Amino acid sequence: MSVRSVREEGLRESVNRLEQALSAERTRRDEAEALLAGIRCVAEAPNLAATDEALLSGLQPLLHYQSGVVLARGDDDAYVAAASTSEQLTRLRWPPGPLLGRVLAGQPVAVYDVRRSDELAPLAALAGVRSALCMPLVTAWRSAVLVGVHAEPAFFSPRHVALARGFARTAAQMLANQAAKERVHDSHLAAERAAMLEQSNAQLREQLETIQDQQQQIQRLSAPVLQISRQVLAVPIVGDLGETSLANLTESLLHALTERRARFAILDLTGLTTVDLVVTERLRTMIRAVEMVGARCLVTGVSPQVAAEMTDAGHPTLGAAAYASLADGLRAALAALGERR
Amino acid sequence: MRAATAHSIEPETSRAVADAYAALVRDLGGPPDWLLVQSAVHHDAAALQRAAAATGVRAIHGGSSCLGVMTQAGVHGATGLGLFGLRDEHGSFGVGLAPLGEDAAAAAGAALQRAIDAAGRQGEVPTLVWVTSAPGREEACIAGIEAVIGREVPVVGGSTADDAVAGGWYQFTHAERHTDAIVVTALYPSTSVTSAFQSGYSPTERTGTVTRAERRTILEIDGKPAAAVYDEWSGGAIAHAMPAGGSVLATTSLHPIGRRVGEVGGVAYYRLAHPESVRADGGLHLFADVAEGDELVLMQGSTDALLARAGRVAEDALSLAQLSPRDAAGALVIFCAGCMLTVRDQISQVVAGLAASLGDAPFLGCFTFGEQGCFVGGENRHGNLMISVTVFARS
Repeated sequence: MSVRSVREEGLRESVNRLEQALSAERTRRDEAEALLAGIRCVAEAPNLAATDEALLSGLQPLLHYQSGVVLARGDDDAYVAAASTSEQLTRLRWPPGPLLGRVLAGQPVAVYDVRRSDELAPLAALAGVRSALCMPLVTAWRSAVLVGVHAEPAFFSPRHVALARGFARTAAQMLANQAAKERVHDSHLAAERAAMLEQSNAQLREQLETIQDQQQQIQRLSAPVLQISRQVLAVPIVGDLGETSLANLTESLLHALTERRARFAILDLTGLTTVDLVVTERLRTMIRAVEMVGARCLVTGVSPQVAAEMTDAGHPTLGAAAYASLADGLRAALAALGERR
Repeated sequence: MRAATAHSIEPETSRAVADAYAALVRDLGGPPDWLLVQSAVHHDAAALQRAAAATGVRAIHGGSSCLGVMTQAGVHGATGLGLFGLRDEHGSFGVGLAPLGEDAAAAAGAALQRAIDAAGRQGEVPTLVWVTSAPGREEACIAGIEAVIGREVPVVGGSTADDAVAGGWYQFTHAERHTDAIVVTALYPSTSVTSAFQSGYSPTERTGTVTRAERRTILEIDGKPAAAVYDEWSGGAIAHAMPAGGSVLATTSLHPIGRRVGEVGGVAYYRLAHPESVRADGGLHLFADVAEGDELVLMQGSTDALLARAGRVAEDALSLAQLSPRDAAGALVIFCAGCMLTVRDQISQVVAGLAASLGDAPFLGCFTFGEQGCFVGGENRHGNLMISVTVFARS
């Protein structure tokens, strides 16, 4: 062999190596682009529930399965369909076994004939399924497997396994990230909801306080304590009197009697349209309380209906002298004060 | 994944196996999960198979090699025996054997199914299939394997050999031995395994088409007697065997016949057929099947290229695997016996080249009468005068 031939052989070998390296690089790039497309598909899934379907559609152009299913661990440890691209795969159930264990441990597996694997008998029972590619999808929050199937025996090769292995690592990380993102999102939502609730509570508290103020104001307006003479106070009562209102009124009245050194309190019931046993009893209690601070109570303006109701309720009198009108009551009070003087 | 090799040149077979196996276990830190045994035919098949089985290893893949074996420690000649062990607790390895019988393809398929079952991986596609068969029907064996697991699983190995092309080769497992069988290992390692398969010869401008053939014999090229055409192409390389016929093995190693397999980046790559003998009828007998219509090209090589090539194939394997030598657990080398015989006096340079490329990774090489491997384009082929290097990643 001539020196020239040896040189040509060396040159040819170098070119060959270079072209092989370039070809290998092109293959890797094509695969990387396909992987990226799959990853993009998953990344764009709006939530975790949609991720399985995104995985199945995103990986199909890369792994070339005819149909696929994502199986997740069920209640009895068997793996059942969480998402699938075909109706018959939705019924697939894969009980635990060594093959499943290897896949879940992180090793993608290509099965050239599902009929030869006892563990894959449920898959072999399906029409048009001869070979399968099993890819782990294991994260801290979920244990799952993607199974792609094909009608041709021996369709999947070590090349598919290598691609699945590369993608499984990325997919697991993405799924974990997405789960974490969703958890953060959930916690943000919870925080927002808590803040809104707090704000709402504050508003409610404000509203409540306003309402209470208004109620007190209304109560004050519905039963104001008026000083109509130096030692005579008058309390015109309007509307129904609840327990709280009457207690407030009693407190206000006693306070005013004490503060103003008044001797008479005239309860004007002209605005009272109806009474029952409870209201009557409360009025009697208030009259006794007035007497206990050294003053006297007069009742004025009792309508015939209220008088009848008081009688029916078994309380014909309130324990205080009654007069037809506020003016009559004031006249009586002033007279009594004049007598005393 | 751990790999180790061990060798012995002890003539007594059981002692040779015991010594080598003890060294292997020491290096591996325990018994191997897969044990490849390659031996010169000095060691009787029955004695060798018994001794290997006595190790207790179930996954034993054994075969004979021409005039010894080679490891990182050197070439171990006429009484040489080499072991290659893989220890991989997360991997699986199964070995199956089937006599080739009438239907070599069916036998290979059956051996593969047994290997897969033995690995406990029923139905699962192996990462790589290692084959060792009797020479003669390797193309059918590859077809039989591909019929089961498809065409994309690398099928790598070499045909068993003896020292004088006298039919003294053998194949064995832990359980049985044969002289016309195929042994298959289904490998499911937990780390990557990558193989490079090359001829390294260059095409010449001498080309022709097979117009008449009988399995491994070319009767006519472009309508003319094949031996005469080849003799003209090669500048009289087989003149000594014409017209009566005879062996031409030693004078044709640097002038094999090439057939295009595919191309990468516009550069074609070829599988080679080594002319073995000239028949009295003017036919040229090869170590590989040939068919009418095959486009032939005369290839040319050199001893310098043969000496350096194994190391370059090892570099290619590492490059394909994207591994540095220190990331390689070990390697298997298939080196054509015809190439070895051509550079026999300088074979230590081949070992040096391999060691330089593979660094500290241990390797076992055998010399075969036919090589099976996976080309860079993914095609599994049987060829002659080929070299393959298969690298197992450490992690």
